[in-house]
Amino acid sequence: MRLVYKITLTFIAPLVITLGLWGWLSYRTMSSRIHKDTDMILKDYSDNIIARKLSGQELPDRFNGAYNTYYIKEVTEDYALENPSVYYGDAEAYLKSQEDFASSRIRRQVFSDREGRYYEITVSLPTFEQETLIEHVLWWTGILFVVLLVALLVIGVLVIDYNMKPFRALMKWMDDYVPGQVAAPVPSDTNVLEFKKLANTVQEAVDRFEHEYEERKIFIGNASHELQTPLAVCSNRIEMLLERPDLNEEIAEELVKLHRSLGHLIRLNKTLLLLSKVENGQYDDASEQNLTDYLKDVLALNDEVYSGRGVSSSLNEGGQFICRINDQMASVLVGNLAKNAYIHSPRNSEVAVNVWDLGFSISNPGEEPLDRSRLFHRFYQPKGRREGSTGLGLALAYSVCERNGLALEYEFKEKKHIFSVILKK
Amino acid sequence: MKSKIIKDTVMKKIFAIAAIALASLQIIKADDRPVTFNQLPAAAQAFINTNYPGEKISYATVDDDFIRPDYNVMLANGVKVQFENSGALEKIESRNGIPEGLVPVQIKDYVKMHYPDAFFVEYEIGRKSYEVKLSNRLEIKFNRSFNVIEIDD
Repeated sequence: MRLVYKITLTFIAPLVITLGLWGWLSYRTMSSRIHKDTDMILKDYSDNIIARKLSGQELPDRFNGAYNTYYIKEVTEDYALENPSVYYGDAEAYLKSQEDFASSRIRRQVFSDREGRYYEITVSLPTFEQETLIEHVLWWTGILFVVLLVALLVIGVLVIDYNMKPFRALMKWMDDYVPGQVAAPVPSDTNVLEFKKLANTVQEAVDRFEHEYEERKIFIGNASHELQTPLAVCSNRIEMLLERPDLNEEIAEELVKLHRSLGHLIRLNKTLLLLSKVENGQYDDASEQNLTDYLKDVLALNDEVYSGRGVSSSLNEGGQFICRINDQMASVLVGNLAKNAYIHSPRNSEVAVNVWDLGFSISNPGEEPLDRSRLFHRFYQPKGRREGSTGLGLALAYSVCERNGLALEYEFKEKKHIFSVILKK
Repeated sequence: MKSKIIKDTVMKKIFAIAAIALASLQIIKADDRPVTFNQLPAAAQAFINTNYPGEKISYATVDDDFIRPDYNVMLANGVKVQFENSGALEKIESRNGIPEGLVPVQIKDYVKMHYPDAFFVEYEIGRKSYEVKLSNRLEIKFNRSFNVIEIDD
């Protein structure tokens, strides 16, 4: 997940909690305040009427048209002692002007006069105004909550996005970077400490790598050249010796063996150097290659070469396997796997090849399964050295696959060795 | 592991804040708690005994307000008196006139001069002002030096 979205998601929970808490408290405080104000109005109203009554003055009209009402009833002393002297509550009060009942807030007060008589006054005030007000407060608090939440998130995303620009430039540079090719300098157009540090470190690492890469390339090139020449010279000298007329049979035999060993050494050198080049990424320049065609060619070639041993091939063409790979490497991969299959097939048997859009497999008959854990390591030979084999064929095939996003797998099924090359996801 | 510790401390802080906030809501509710004459502060009792000797109490309550608790006393003759927490007089309302000697001389003189036919029905001692209400429905506000700041009717 991209960093911006992850940060946004992380933001959401605490924001919702904080804003929600604030909104809820704000609403509760306001509604509590509104209720208290109503009660205070009722108290003043009640006190006013009591004061009038006790001072012997005229009492106000019970239904004065302004929705608030009162009534006074005389009560006994027992009643006064048993009930709380002040009571607030909610009730349905009758509004004369509306000729209907309305939800109201009421207040009851017990008081006594000079003659010791007890009274209870009930005052009431309809609450629809307050309730409507509270409803509005709730509604608008809710809207404010949503607006704030969205606004804060959007602002958060924009702010982070803006500040991550240098980081994104670095990411883009990393996408474009190909080892071995001339790379643009690491972008460090920023005065943010961390990004600058990151850019500088990456630049140093890249420079160091590029330097070592060059050194290694030069070394491999030198080694290849330097070793090949003396080896070739040795080989030629032996060939010249073999042409001497004064050669006896024994010495000739020894010379032939020597020549064969030398040939092995030359092949080993060539393959080892090829393997090093592949692993050093010197064959990473890729183009679209149709491996089905390569398979067809290599099967045709090997059929001819091994016809003497009765080894034939069958090809199941289930699709065109096209992938991005260096053309030489495609040839090396297919060639190596095919040659392996043919060499290890018993007389008069068949090498079966299966190819489809996402890969291919080559199988040949066998007795016992190979050691999967060491199969693709260099110089692995099952059960003793086979003459002429470098032991590097599978290691080479494996490296080529690794560097080109392919998976090389081995299976032993129904007495067959099956090697598959599949496009990695 | 580290993120769990951070999450825990943050969560604790959130709950603490929430708890405090919810608790503070309780304080906004104030009640009219009934009290007897003897439960009034001494100064309040003295005031009533001095100015209204023998007068019965119709009812008395205390308002447990967080900011300023005060006492409300309704005498059986319809006089309503409000006392501060200390028992000092805060406000007195009487439809039939306020006892002599309660209102400061300067105010009395002013009213006698401007409204000779009016008597006091209400007298309030504010923190920085005095407020009186006359029988002609006029409300006058004085500052501490007894200069008129406001007249309202």
